Amino acid sequence: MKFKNRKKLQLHSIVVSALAIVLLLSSSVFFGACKKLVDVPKSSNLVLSKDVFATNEKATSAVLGLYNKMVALNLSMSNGGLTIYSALSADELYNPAPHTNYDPFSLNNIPSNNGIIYNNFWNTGYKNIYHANAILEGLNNSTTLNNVVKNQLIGETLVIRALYLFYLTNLYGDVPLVMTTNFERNALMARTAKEVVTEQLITDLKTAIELLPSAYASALRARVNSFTARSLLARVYLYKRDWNNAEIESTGVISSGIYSLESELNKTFTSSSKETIWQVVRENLNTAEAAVLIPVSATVLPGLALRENLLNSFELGDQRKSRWTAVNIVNNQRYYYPYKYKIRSGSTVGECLIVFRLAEQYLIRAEARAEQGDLRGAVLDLNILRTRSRAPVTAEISNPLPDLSLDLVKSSVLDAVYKERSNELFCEWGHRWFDLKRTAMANAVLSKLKPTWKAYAQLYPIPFEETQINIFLTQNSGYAN
Amino acid sequence: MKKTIKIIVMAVLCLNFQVMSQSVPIQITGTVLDKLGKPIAGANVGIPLSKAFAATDSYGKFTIRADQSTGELMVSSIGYKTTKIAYGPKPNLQIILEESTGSLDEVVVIAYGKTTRRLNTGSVGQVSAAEIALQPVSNPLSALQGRVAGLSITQNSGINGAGVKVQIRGQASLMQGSDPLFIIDGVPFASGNSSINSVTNATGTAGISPFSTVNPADIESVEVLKDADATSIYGSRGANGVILITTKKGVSGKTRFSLNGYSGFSQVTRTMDMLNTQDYLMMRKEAFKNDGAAMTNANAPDLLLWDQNRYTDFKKLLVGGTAKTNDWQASVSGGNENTRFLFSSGYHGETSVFPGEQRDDKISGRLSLNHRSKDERFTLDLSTSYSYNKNKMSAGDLTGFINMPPHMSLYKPGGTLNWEDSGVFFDGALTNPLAATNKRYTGKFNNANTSLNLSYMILLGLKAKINMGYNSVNGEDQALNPSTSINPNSGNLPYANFGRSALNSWIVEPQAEFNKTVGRGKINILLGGTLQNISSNSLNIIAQNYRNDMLLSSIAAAGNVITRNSDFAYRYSALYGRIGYNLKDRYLVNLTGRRDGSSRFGPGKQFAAFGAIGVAWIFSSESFIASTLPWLSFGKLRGSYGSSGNDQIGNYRFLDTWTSTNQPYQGGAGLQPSSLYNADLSWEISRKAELAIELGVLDNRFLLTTAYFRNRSSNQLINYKLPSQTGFSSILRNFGALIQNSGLELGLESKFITTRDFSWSSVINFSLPQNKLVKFPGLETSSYATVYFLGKSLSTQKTLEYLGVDPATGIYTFRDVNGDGQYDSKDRTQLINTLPKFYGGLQNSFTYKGLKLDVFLEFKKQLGYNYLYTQSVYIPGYYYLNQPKIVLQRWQSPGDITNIQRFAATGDSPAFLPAGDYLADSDAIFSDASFIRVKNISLAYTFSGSWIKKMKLEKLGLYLHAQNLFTITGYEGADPESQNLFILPPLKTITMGIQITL
Repeated sequence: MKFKNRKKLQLHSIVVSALAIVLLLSSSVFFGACKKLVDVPKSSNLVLSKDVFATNEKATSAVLGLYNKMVALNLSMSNGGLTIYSALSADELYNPAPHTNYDPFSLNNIPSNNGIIYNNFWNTGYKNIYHANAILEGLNNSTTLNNVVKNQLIGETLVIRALYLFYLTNLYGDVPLVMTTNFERNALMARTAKEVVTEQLITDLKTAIELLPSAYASALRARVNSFTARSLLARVYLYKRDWNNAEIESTGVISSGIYSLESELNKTFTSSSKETIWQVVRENLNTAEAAVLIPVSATVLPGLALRENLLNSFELGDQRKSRWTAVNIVNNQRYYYPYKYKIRSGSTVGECLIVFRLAEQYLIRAEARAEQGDLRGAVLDLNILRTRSRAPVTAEISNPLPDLSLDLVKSSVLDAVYKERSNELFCEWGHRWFDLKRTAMANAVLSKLKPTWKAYAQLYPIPFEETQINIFLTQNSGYAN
Repeated sequence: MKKTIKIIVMAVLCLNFQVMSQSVPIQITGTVLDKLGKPIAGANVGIPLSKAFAATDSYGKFTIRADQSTGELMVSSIGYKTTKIAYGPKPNLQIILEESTGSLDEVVVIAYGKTTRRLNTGSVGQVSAAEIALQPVSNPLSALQGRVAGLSITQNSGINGAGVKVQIRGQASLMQGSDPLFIIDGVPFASGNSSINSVTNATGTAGISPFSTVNPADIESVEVLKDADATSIYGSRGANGVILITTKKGVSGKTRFSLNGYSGFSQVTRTMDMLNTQDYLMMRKEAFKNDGAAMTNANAPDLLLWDQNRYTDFKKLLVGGTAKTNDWQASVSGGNENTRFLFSSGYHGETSVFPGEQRDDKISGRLSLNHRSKDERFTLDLSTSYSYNKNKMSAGDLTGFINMPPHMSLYKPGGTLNWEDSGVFFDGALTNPLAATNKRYTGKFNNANTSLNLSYMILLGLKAKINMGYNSVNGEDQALNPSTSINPNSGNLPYANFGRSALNSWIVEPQAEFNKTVGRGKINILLGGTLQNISSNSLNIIAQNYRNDMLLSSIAAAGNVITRNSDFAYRYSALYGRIGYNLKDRYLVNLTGRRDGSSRFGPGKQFAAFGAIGVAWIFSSESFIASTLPWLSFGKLRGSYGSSGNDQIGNYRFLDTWTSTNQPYQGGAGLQPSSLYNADLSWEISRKAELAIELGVLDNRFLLTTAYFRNRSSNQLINYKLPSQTGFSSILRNFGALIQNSGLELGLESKFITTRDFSWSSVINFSLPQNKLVKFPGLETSSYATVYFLGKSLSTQKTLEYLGVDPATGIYTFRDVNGDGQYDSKDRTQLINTLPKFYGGLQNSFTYKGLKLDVFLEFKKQLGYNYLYTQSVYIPGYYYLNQPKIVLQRWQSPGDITNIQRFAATGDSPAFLPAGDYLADSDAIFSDASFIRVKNISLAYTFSGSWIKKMKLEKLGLYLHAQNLFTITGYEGADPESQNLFILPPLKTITMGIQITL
């Protein structure tokens, strides 16, 4: 009886305990299973991809973000990098003092694991191509956008993507033609033949010309319009040696009536230049390249100086030498440096990164005309630029930068075009480096100038790290990998 | 209700007594109490050589059936000495247990409970308050260094407040977080081990440690939970191990006041001497001579134009100072048997070895309150603390500038900083290091931590509990860059960075605990749930273009302001349970399980289950062992197996999102893709197995623990590397790679001599880690083909084989494996493994009367980066940068046998690429970085004698502490732990202090 009592108590307590446990358990199951308990509010800095392309405003932001990324990293490909590093690779700039970043470029001795090749060029290029592809996919899938806005945005994005692909293929040769955001496919993509890339550029730019208006979407010509697309297309045709189309496109830009050469050279690179076809604006900042090229004071050794051969090539009375270069005299030696952009720093923005300007279109047309036998037309185009740069007659210089004769033979006209390009476009976006390569002058010119020159250095090495991650990415010949 | 139960219990006990007195075998009843008369619940009561067994209830009462009417009872309980007591027909025995002093019976804190080392089925390392108190450090994690087997603490920077890297049993994750879970008094530490500063300061990549807001003096013990049995109950958060920090509690009795203070100084430990001006000039000239290059004003202004007689020892100037440390701790504690309290407050302040006014201060206050109701049913434990840390270190690590040319002109004639010498502008790698001292960083951080545990005994053996906690870590920091700190070449106007961050975490954990004697054993069941929420928001402001330095700390005065903010929320919920069965304190089984949900994964992937089993057999309690091996005082065999997970991947990674660009474009907001996204992310799973034997011999004078563990992590969450042609360098995904961490851990505690006046004891711990990549599907064709190697440690890399300096040419040579005349990736055949071979610590303690000497050595055997590593970035002779003195051993003329190649001055020197390119890819930059560090020496004297009592003192002590006193190493470089010449190495600190209790 007594024991029974005790057992009863035990039983009772066990039952109660069990009940309590079950209660707790079930409440916990509720805890554990209820998905609400692990739902969290979305971070305020994140926008879901599908929301980005739901409204005109947000979709526009995605494109503005791309412009912004073009100039996010100083001396990346599209933010002074081509200007500086390609000019070192070519015969325009040298570094008077040793410099670990500049030496491999000026000596044409770039190891495949070079950080600049990787970060400033390849990486920046493909990051922004992805951004562009993401925009294009988002825009194409969106059904809620205003068609005018949608077309404008697609056009802008196509041009920016084409710009990167154009530079990548001209720097590295064959490069993966990445047209989607599908990373599984893109990760294993091999290099696409340069000709195929070029055809894609032409297709895309033609589409962009269709979609884009001739009017600019914002002030300062800071967003791509149809003539920007035509300017790039003209250049693509030129590099492809499709002279007829190069002439047609450049003529389209020249005769648009929107652009005119600044008669005052000092105004060519200002933010209000009438010559500008497209420039990228940086928030509260002037250009990255001016900050590098212009020395901090008149007494210091410039980090980068212009080579003698370029300085000597300016004819007498060519104001491009006096207006677009400047000199520091250090320890009794003269060091010239590019002075196209003139604002080194400061909080007031007076200069933006000019991507396309009218002068280049004259040069494209001149070359295209010359190659097609229109020598007279070619010389006329060159003379327009020479006239603009001509200094007033002085006692010392009686015939400053004279007009070229209309009777020059084809080879002389072409030589004049190349020289004019060198004097007009020096230290701008790698023009000289690409000209040397596409006109097959690189070996002859650079081997004379640099004892360390090697023919294979015309193509930059594919970044070593990338070849290790994507086994289908082959190295350019000549480079250790 | 309460009363009724009491009456029933009493009645039952009375009935039992009647039963007992009537016959043999008899029933014995009694109460087990502690010295203060408080009942001890859960104590084991047994009769040796019989099967009789009972456990006490919450009132300390027990009833046991004995075969004979007289005999001996054996009573044991966690934290108390095992006691034998004679019984007879006398009813209601009163048994008083003394608190145990042996280390086997010390309390060990485990997940949601306590146990002893004797009865623990899991693998838990412990660092006590006493060990922490010996060390004059401000970061409690630093005090753990070398003290627990399997716990690796690496201090990469000696800057005040800098973070330390913590790893338990190796790197389990290919690349996600390897940080353990930190829990302070039951509340997960909101920031984990991630740095808390929003603005960069001198601590660099290490950042400011969140633990710089935790006062080491508040800590009662730190438990390091390592195996599955100990960690599985933490589910997804336990894969990398758990560190439980338990703070001090009040002691009942007379109100006690205690004061502890120390003061001392710190200096840099090991670094490298740099060349003086004369040697520097010689190096540069020799470099030009070697290259056959002409020195010109443009390429060698430092040789032709600069003052050749000027000399600054930059090492002395920048890191040669003496830092001062001050620390004060005061506390008052007391209470009665129902309520105890402890209030403590502390201050710790340090200055820096850098020049100028730099300091790091911390104040903290804590209150601990413990209450139990008279009837012992209700308990309340409250602990609340607040601390404030103010870090005013420079904005950059000045150690990075010790390679400035020794004859650099630092000041202009007027006394302002100089930036130009003979046409050379100090720019890029060349900079006036004093400018950095003018960058002013101020970080203010506060940490509030509150935990409240309520427990109510519903029924005998059944407790309902709730743990609640709140932790908030807030920071506000700024770095001001006045014009005097800015290189004029940058074109920047004065600017300032401001940061603000708030991290809040709360946790609620309802629990039920059930204790019952079942058969001859005790069963313990714990069931609970967790709901945890962490939310964070931060604000970063870059304020630029100030017109002058006057209003730098005012954002309104800036010409341009870039503001960024971010926020996230993390939510975690779980249900967990544990069933423990303890049979006669001899056979123990422990089952744990948890079902987890984390907001870091997408729909359908949020929940997962984890579980573990732990078993232990205390074989020394078996009579056949006791009779055959009488010298064996303790023997336990234990093992465990189970799983836990890892969700340390950051938040919102499963969503396809865009985020704002840092800058607008023409005033319009810009958006960019955040990352490649993967909606299928799921847990990384770690399966841990452990087998251990614990032995005590000669009355536990020697205690040996040997554990072998094998942890395998699978379903790895990795940032799978992608070529940047995909737009990003990686994608986060689960991957079938299997990583195995295994190892042997040894611990030996010895009491060599224990007499009244003199004692000598030692503790040694030793870890032999191994790390292996067991499986990696498709490794050969993956983007990791050259990064990871099957069957090798994750810390393995493939390098060129260094063949030394060619005695004929003086240039580094490497093995051209395929003989193609180029050193390229195909020639990388040497496997270098930087995983430590072994590491551990050795503590020796001596006491003689009131005098106590503790010496602690930390040791590690490893390969590490040597001084040549930095020479691939800064090539000796090239550019105007100084070199460590060791470069004087360079090759000079044909026939020289040396390890440093000839100096090079030009980019087209034949020696340029070998140094700049191949050297860093070779095994030459690795060498033995093993060390034995005299981590801590403490000499303490406690006064005794009647005058102490006359002065009404309970205790008066004086002590001398030394941290990182010296290092024995053959390492070729600065400090073998930080392995970088340009980062401030850990400091050595010597302090003197006093401790008073009244």
